[in-house]
Amino acid sequence: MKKHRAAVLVDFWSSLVSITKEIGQGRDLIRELVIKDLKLRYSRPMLGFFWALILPLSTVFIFFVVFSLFLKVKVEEAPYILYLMTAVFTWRFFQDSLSGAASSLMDNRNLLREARFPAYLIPLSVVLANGINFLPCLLIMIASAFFMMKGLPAFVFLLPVVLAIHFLVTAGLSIVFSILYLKWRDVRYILETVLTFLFYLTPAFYSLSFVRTTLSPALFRLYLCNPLTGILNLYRCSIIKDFPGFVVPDGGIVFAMISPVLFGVLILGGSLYFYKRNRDAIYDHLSY
Amino acid sequence: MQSMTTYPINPGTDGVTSEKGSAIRIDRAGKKYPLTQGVHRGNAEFWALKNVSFEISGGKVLGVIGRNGAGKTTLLNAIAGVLSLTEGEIKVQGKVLGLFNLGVGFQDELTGKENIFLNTAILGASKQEAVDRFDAITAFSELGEFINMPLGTYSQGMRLRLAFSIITHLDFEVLLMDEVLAVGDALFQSKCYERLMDFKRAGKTLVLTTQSMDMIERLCDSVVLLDHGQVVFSGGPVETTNRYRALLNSEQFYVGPSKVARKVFENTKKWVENISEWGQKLGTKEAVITSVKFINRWGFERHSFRSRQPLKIRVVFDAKNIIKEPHFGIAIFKNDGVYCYGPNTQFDQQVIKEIKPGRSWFELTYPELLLAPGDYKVSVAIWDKNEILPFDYHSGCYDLKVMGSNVAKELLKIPCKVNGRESLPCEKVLALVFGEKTDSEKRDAGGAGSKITAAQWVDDKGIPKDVLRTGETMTLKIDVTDSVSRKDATHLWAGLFRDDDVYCQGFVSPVRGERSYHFVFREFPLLPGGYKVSAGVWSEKEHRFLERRDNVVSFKMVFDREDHGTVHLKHEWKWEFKK
Repeated sequence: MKKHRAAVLVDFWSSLVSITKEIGQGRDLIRELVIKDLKLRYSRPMLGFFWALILPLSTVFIFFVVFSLFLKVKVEEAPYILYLMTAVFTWRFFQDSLSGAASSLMDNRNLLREARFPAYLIPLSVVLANGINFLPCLLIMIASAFFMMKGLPAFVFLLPVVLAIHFLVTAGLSIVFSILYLKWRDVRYILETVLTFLFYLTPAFYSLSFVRTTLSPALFRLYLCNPLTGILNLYRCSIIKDFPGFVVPDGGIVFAMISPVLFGVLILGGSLYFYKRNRDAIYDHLSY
Repeated sequence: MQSMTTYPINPGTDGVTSEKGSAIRIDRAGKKYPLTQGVHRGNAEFWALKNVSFEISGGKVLGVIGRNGAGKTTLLNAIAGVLSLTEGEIKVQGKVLGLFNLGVGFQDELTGKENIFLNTAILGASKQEAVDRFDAITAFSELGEFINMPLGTYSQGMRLRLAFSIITHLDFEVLLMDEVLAVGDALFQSKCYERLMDFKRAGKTLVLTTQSMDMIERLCDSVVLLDHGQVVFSGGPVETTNRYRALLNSEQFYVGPSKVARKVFENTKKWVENISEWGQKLGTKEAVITSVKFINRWGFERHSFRSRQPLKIRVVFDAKNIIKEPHFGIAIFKNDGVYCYGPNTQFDQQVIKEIKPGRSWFELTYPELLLAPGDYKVSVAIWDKNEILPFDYHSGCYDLKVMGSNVAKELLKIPCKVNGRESLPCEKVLALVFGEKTDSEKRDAGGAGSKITAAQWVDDKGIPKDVLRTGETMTLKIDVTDSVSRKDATHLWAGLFRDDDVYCQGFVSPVRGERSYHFVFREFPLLPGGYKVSAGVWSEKEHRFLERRDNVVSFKMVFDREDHGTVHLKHEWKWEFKK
């Protein structure tokens, strides 16, 4: 039994090494794919890369008008606009990556048919392109938090870790969905529905404290297990100065990290394993 | 020159290309597809490949032929690894690159340049390699400014140029090509073949699919014939293509070119195909033309000749390999691209079995050069038997001058007798350029009071004709009114034009009281196509046309054999090959 477990670990380790190698060898390709993605998006519109800012900002503006001015929603954790910004900006990265990546293998079947290279580099490059897209938003977010809260929390040093976790989760899900989409074209619509549902399941525009007081403790535990809630909490902890205090009753920042990290590692590892198993079928499904 | 800009071909790495061992080994390969309709998957299946086995050793060219849907592309895709097999296995030594379909790997919204970088990355080259080879790729593709245009603006031919240039400037051991070269123009195709031959010499393995049997027979060392996903036959190029033709005929798929017993040719090439090609040397270089000399009647090399004098063109070449069934061609063009004459040994039905490696020569002798003074360009070529691939083709590389003045801008110097006397050369009598029309002359044309009353062609029995045969004796009859015939110092001019308004030649006779003038052409040498005649009455005193009428007669030339150009010149071939 023990031996078996060791063998699995060795196997996992060696496949991890081989995939890291593969990604390393494919870095020129990844760069070209990311450049291609960004060029297709921004080289023709007149405002170009500014759209990466305009779109999320307009969403934040609309949400602010609707929820704060009309519906009078109040949150105690942070100024409402900052609260919205952290949710909308990070969510957009997640949502755009997933919906872009889901059909990416199909959209790029041209490229896949030209030469043999690891197919998962394509959804990976879509996520990376969206990551670059996300950078200006991230800067605005940090700057606004700095000015509105007159400083940043001590946890700001965790931000790179949070970004990495967010990236792991997004990349893993993207790879899985892009492969699933080849076989089941319904995936795109299912994904759209699930994403909308998930957005309302995270404390994006309502207060976390409100959920804590409304739900039973057990249900609230479950609510916190949603890795996306965890990631959003982590972002807020590392950007909004007073926010870390509000997660202390739930076990603090360490606890907030458990679910996203676990999920991220599992999903990325799982997605690459899923890819390895279906590698040959991918080429078949590209044709019909 | 072109060859300077191409990126050097790297010899095989890690000794992979060594002759021993096979570059590609295919063992009982099979590929099954389920037959689907929408999302419903039935039990029906379809074997795109079944039990395919063969081997090919490094440095060889393999052809894969078969009808549409025979499994050629599936096989190539499987070799490239972009398709998984249902059973069996394929082993390839070294890196494989494939050129499958002109849409593959290209992004229409990106520019040619951006596509080069994307494509090289997909094909596994590093950024540094892409940067290093970028100049060579763009130079070879000859796309010029289009390299910065989005690919959506490209034609199929331009896409091929780009795709072929990219793939052939990367490092590989095995190159797969799937019926893509067909969309290239002849010039680029021969450049592609040249490059492919270079790869072959460098020990790379090539696998081609094509419907061009000529290409298969010329390039391939061995050929596999596929049908319904299975290998039907494999062997040498000629025997396999013969099997394929038989297969096509047996199932009424294809009607091959059949030999018509005696065909009449009604048209021929009248212009150079691509004037920008002039000065270029193309070909697979299995034979290399080392010198071309123009020799006059005394045996001296000259660059200037006189009209109606003998001209001998002597071509020396080196054959690198044994060349089977080649043919020679020499074409003369006016320097504006008008095709004068281009005989070749195939049109002349001269059969050359084979040439052994070494130095050989051939000669073309014209006893009488019926060309008007001016500057000419000469192309010299050694072709394969079907004029698909030149071994060596020097396009417009040699200047030939015919001395003398030519104010009338004529093209030819055909002999002609008018009423028993030699026709006068235009420029000696009339200081006017007849080839060009002016407005005042046009206004004089036609009308009831016309001075030219009749014009027509008749054969030697006096029967009127409007379709003439090259090489027969023909007479152009032009009648004028009394008022003209009695006038002093007038001349009658008959000008021959091609139907694309190229002025061939003018014939002039003094008017000496006769009313009918017979322009007699013995062995009329104009080549097939449409022609027309203009006629005019010229007054030497007033120094103008009393009347000029354009297009008084239009006529067609036909010939019972194929020839290129405007005028048939008598000629003779001679050669001596290395024993």
